[in-house]
Amino acid sequence: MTRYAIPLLTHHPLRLGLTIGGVALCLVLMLFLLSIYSGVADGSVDYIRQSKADLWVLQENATNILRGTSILSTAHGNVLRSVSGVRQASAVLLSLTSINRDGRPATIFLTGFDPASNLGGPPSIIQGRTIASDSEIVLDKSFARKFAFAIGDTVILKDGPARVVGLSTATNAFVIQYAFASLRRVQSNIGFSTLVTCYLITLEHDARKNEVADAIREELPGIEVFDHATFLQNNMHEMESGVLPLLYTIAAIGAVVLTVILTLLLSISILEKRKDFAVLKAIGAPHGFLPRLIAGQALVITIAASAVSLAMFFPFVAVVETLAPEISTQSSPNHVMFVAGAAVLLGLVSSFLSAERLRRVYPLESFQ
Amino acid sequence: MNAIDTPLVQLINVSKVFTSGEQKTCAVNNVSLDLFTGEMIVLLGPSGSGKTTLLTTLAGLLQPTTGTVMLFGKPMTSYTPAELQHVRAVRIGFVFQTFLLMEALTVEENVSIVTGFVRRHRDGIENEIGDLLLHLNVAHLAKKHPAELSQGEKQRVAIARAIINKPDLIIADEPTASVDASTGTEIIRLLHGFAKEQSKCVLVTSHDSRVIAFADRVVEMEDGRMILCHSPSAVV
Repeated sequence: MTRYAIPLLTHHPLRLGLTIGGVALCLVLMLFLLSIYSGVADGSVDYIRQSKADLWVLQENATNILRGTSILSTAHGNVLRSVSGVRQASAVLLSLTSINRDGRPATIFLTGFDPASNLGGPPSIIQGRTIASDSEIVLDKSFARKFAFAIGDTVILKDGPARVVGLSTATNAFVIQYAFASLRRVQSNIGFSTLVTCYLITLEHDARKNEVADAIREELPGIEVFDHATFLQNNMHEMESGVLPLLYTIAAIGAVVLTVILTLLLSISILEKRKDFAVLKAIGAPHGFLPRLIAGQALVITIAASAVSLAMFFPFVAVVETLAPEISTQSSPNHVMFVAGAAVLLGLVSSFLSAERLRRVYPLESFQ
Repeated sequence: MNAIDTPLVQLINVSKVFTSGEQKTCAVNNVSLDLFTGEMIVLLGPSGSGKTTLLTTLAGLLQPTTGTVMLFGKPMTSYTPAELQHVRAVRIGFVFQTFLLMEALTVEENVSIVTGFVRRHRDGIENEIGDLLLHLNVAHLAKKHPAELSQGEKQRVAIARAIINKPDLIIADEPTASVDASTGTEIIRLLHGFAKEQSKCVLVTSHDSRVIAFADRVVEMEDGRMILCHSPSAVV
């Protein structure tokens, strides 16, 4: 059917080009949202995923660190370290902290950890080193790029300056980026020297997670203990429930726009070629012939638009990531397949909607 | 008239009335007509005399208000819509006054598109189309679009489209009205040849006196009624 669909489309090259361009932009939007989702899904929880902790201990009812508050004290640490099977219990204090860079305000997820154990510290340093003293700080790479921080620069925190000694990756949570300082320094920064957010526990080789978790619960009522996988899942769920509805909504709008563009083009094409279609009906075109011709046109457009969108997508992402380094995307062949499949499906929906007009084309019109 | 068997198409006391509000217009009034293989019939009559209504009725595009249309041996009412479509695709070829070729398609595609209406082996269809275009002297135009053709060339392509599926009946609505006189004669000669050489039936509406000269029978219509049916010598 594409044998006739292609010439019918190329008969109006400008219109075809605009339509393919419009559909391709919608597909780029969908691909972009998918890659942002993957980037966010990974980036938001990479800090947790790459942690070496076997167990996470938080305040009662706190299930995650992305959108929950957990307040514990340093005294909990002493009890945790005494539980049988616990090798290390390292405190982490997370604090949303405002800083100022040349008059530009910025917010970081300042993470205080114990440099000696490195539990809860930056999962991956790509430039410089991790902190060695209270006066040092490690920044997320994309945050540093956005605010033009380099190794050796100074970040002014509430309680004084901190020198940038390293840049980390896997610490971009999309809406906010992690920064790492010593636990003592972060406690000093917020003005509470015994406050922590959670404890990261590593176990002795022969210890069983469940048994240690139960022992901790017994020793410290009013706290939550999660194994690593559950805690990671909790945070992913939290991230998805916050971000996914927005992404889905925008993707749905893109899909609707794509369908509308295609339906309009195909409907206009039917109206313009009304007499042609009337003739085809008069001379015996079978029932499904004309709808298949329209579906063929939709397929040609969506396949061409998929190819164009793929060619546009990677340069587009490169530009976006240059302009907004905090946006981290992650694309895969599955995304491309999914978007191309969705495009074909929406193309068929469009052809179905516009083919309704064929019902009102009458063979006798060819004799007028 | 050549071999006379059962008629391909039979109109028996056919009338067609169009109703618009309270106004009724009788476009075809009690017409009876038999069409046989191997003959060329010319339908004469002024505008509004009911020629086109008669053509479309016997092609199964309109249901008569009263009377019976026997289409290839069966009452038209016994065909399902899909069967009527199939009959028009396979057994009836149409030639229109203004050619009605698809401007976006090449000559070859305009002809091949109708072969897609019928389940035919694709093998050999390209050759068949090539031979037909050669026969109609438009083979050199196969890759051109209708906009690049003369009126006469367009009508020859339209004839190719009408006969590629080897129909038993060709319905040509004023096929010479949009071409010059010599081309018109060529067109009619082609249609006449199709009727005689391939034993098909050709029904032509026309005002052109040269068309009448090729006819086996001339049917005259006026105000929806068939007023005369005779051999061309009576007219010429």
